[in-house]
Formats: sequence, C-alpha cells, structure tokens
Amino acid sequence: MTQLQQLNDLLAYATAHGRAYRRIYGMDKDAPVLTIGSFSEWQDIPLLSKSDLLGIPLAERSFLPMSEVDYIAASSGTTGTLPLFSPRTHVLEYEFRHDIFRFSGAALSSKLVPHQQELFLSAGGVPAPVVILDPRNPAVSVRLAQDAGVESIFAFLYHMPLIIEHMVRAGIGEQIRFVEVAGHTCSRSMFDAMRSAFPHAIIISTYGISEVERSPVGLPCTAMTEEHHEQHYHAKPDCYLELLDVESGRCIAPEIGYEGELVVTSHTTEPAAFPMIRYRTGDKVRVTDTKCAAHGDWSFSVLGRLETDFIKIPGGALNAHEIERVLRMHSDTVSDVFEAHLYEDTAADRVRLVLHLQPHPGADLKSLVTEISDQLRIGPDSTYADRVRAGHCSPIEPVVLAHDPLRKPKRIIRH
Amino acid sequence: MLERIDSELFNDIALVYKGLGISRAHISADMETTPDMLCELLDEARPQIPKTDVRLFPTSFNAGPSLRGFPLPLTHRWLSCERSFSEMRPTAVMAHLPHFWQLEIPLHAACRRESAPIFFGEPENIPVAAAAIASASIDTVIAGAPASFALSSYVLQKRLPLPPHWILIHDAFAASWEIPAPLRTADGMVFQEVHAFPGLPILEQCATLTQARSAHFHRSNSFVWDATEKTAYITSTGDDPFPLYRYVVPFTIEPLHTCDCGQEVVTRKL
Repeated sequence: MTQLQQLNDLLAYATAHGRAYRRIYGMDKDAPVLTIGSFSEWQDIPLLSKSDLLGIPLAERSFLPMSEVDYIAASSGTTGTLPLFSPRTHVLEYEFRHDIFRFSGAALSSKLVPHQQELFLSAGGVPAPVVILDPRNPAVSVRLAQDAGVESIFAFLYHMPLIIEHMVRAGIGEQIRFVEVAGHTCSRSMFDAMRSAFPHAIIISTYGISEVERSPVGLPCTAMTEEHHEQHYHAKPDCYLELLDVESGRCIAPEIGYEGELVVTSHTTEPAAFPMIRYRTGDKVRVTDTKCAAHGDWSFSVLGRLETDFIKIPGGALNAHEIERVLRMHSDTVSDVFEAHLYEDTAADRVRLVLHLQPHPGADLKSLVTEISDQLRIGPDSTYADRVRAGHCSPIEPVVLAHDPLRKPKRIIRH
Repeated sequence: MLERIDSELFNDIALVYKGLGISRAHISADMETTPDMLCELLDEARPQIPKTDVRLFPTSFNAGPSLRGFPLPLTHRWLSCERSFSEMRPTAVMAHLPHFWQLEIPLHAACRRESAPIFFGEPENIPVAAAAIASASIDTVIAGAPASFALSSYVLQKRLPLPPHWILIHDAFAASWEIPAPLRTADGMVFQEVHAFPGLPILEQCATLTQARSAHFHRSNSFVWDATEKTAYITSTGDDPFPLYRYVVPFTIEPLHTCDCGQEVVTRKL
C-alpha cells in the first residue's frame, strides 16, 4: 500500500469512527467521510494543535471504549497550559531498540509508563524488571537499581544529572550498556557527562510527542557519538512527517538545511485510541538528510520549542540553539547548559537579557558575556552586540545557574 | 492466639535462606526478624538474589539510607488491590503514589484485569492530579493515606467532584491510620490496606468492612500471624524468593468478630 493510500485510509477511518475528528473538521452528522486523492488534497486537511484537542473530553476523543484503553498519558504542560490527557492502547512502541542492543537484564526508567518498558524487555525474550526512578528520591531508586543489577536506562534527559550523580556515587556506571534519553535536545556537555559516567554504554536519544499515541515518533538514525552528539531522527515506519514553514504556515519540501515546524501523522494497523492526523508539534526542526541511507525517509534534528526557544527581540530573534552553539565555543570556561531570562520593556522597545550559566571554576564571567554578545547571532547579519550598540538591548548580565533537577528545564524564559 | 508456625514451614524457609547464603547463625525457629535484622539478611543474601525474575520493593516507606530492596516474583500480583477493584469496577484509575514504592507495574496489571486504564500521577503534583480527575474520567484513586488528605482537600477546594472510589495505603509503622474526613462520608467505596512496607499488604478490607470507614481489617492470608499480647509476627506462606520469618510487626492485633464475608475482623492494639 502506498503512503497516500495509507493516509487516505486513516482519514476515512478517523472521520467515519471518530466523533472528535468530525467535530474538529466541522462535519455535520450526515457528511460523508473525508477522502483524498493526492498529497495536495492531503495538505488541505486542517492542521491540529493541542488547543483543538483540549476542548474535547477524553472519552469523546477516544476511538475505543475506556475498557480497551491501557493507560492515560499527560502532556507536560511546561508552557503553562493545562496538560492534555490522551488515551493509549497497549501497542509496544520500542521494538527499534532490539536493532541497537541485545537486552538481557533489568532497566532503570524515569518514563511514566514503566509497564511498557517491562513489556518491551519481556517481548525480547528475557523477562527482567524495570526499576522506577523517583526523581524526588534518587538515592533510593539507584540503590534498588543497583540491587537489581540494571544494565540499561530509559530516562527523560533532564533526570540524567540526578541519575549520573547517584550511579557514579554507587559505582555502577560501568555496568550500564544502553542509555536512551528523551524529552529535550541533548547539549554537548550533557552528552559528555553521560559518556563519562557510562563509558561502555550505547547512548541514543528518541524524539517523542506526549500527545501522539505512537510516540516516540522520531527514531535515532545512529547512536550518539563524541563526533556527533546531535541526534538525527527519522520517522517511525507508521508515522508520516511534514515540515511547515514557520512564517507562512505552508508545507515545504524537506530539503537539507531547511527549518520548520514538524507536523506528525501517526497511522497504525492496530486499533488506536486516537490516531493523530496532521498534528502541529510546536517543535522546530532542521532537515539533515533527504533520504537517510539506513532508513529511507528524510531525517531531522530538533532545534527547540517554537513557543519558548525562539523569541523575537528588536532587530531579530533570540534562539536557544544559537546560544548553545556560542557557549560551546567557550567550553573551556563554561558549560552549554543555560537559562536565558528575557525582560521586555515594550515602552522603551528594549530588552534586558540575564544569562544564567554554569561557569568552570575561575571563569571571568564579565569578559565571557562580552564575547558571547559579540558572537551571538540574532539575525542573518547582526549580533546581540550590534543591538546593544543600537540601543535596543542591554548588555548581557551573567548569573550563575542554580540547577533544580526536579524542574523541567526551559532555555529561554520571558518576563 | 492465631496460628502457630509449624516446623515444616520453618524448615522450608530455613532451606530457602540457606540457598540464599544466609549464615546458619541467623536462622533459628524462635528468631525474630526486626526491620534492622531484615536488612542484614537481605545484605547477606544480596549476591544470591536472582536479578531477572524478581521485582524489588523498598523495605520502608521512608526513603532513607537503611532501605533495601525486598524481592518478590516478577509475576507477583497485588491480590488485595485486585479484589478491591473487582468490587469497585473502576472506569479509570489514578495512581497517586511515590514512584520509589515501585507499585506502578503490579498496579497496572491489576487495572488490566479489571479492564480499566491507569493514569500515573505524582503526589507532589496535585494540580495535575486534580486536572486528571476533572477531565480524564478518573473515578478511582489509589494513594498513600497521608497524600490522600492533601489531594481530597484540594479537589474539594477547587469544587471538583471527589472520585467515588479510593484505595488508601497505610504504613504499618505510622502512629495512626486516619482517612480524610471527606472520604469518611462520601458515597462510593474506600478500601484501606496496611502495608509492612510498600508492596507488602498485611491487613486488608473486604467490601463489608469498607462501609464503616474504620480501621478494622482482615489479616492477609499471605502470612501466618503469630501474635502475643505485645507483639505480632508474620511469616510468609507462599513460594516467595525471600520469605519473611517471624517478621516483627510494630503493633499487635485484637480479634473483634467474624465478618459477613466469613473472615475474622481484627483491629490494631498499640
């Protein structure tokens, strides 16, 4: 079956059986199911966003009766909106790991669906326990993981500093053979910390969307390495990805280097609790390959959240990925983990940037931020320092970052 | 009072301990396994405890350095929870339990047996728990008893409907086994369990006992109870990878009467 046929079948199924889609698409009860005959018609199908789904009760959204729903997932709500609760079936989502590592023992997991992780281990032929990480009690969790003899870790990236600290203290880093992180883009310093703590581990990152049932939707093309810590992803076989131009909101062809918002459609042969059609992820990605040699489809890297990692300022935009790039140029002085607090004085059309950093001992923060200001691009032809000279921005103020391992990190925070 | 531990049971457990490499000096028919002693035994057995076919539960509700991993079979079922679910017939269940208790996986299995989806919440994130109650069809909450106070009062404060069904877990070592006032009068069913440590229920309730909303229980039949005037001991009866032998419970129990379900009703005697 061609991809177009699959998408057509999905659309017909969703508008025949899903009350939610008929409501979202404004179809009255007698309207025939939607079908498409070309990709151009597909692109006329309305895009979905989290706010479209928040207004529809979970039971109405679910294509299955509640008795057939396995668990309910919640989106993080990091951006201050209400979490979206989504129904999930029992379908296993992690088979791709078997192509990367031969699992034979226990795992530590900070993912909120531990039973799925254990089912995955069991489906591989070696039933083994999953120890659940409690981020509020990491020492205890690692103690149990140590007793269970864990060999792998499935974790949100922002929990890794805690895991590393306690596993290194317990002396069990060397027994870890597989690490999978998700949830955020991995900085170079974070990758280095994982590599140092788990020297024998294959380290990968997956790209997931908590609202999408078939998450993770982006699978790693290769493992992360010292040379290539930035993970490239390709679509899971039952996911269809599109690239949306951020300015025009139109679909664009995925050419190498193009950037845009990722749109996800998940189509499955299994009964789905909620098949997702043309969902705007809110994530900005960059196309890294038009045809991944190993996996066929186009691949991408994740640049950040559109809502929080790309903030317009007078004369350009502050870009979290760009700040990270500049910090990496000063790796002997500072790590690339940061929090940028942006204070906007709209009356004066001026912004103030307070940059929370993790400097190495003895670093001269004042001269560091002067250099950062000179190197930080906020537009094709201008730097932050240019905007300071033009009077639109105040000089960067450095502050030492206080790390809170329980809080999901935000890279740019507007005030 | 109650059962006596027969020599056959002692011999069976002694054999398991021997296989786990526990020194004979630690094993005698009249031994008492205090929580500290349990940690010593687990430390001694640690190299022998199989890694792949057991699940480790924390030996304490307090996440301190003295905590150890207590092994139960990977296929271990939370039967008291399953029995409660079969009475409540939940539509959707919310786990409102600390993650280090390691209860999510057996709880998910119990939910599947009752065809109910589960939402894994976090006791520290009450607004999300309340949002789940409001918009994710949650009608059953399973929580540590102390956490249920904060959650139920938050839900009422926000004028949300209180889920009708609850399973509350009491720490055997807690000074009191209270339940929140709104749950004492609410419609629906409130089951209470007392765990020696998370994942090890020792006292439980049937549907009849839930009606009084009091601290009256049935003894778990996974253990032989050996109670004196001052102390109670439990000894595992099943084929456990690490059976408890005369584990000291921090209270003794007093029989009250026979329940409509046919089991003996007991209460805690401090």
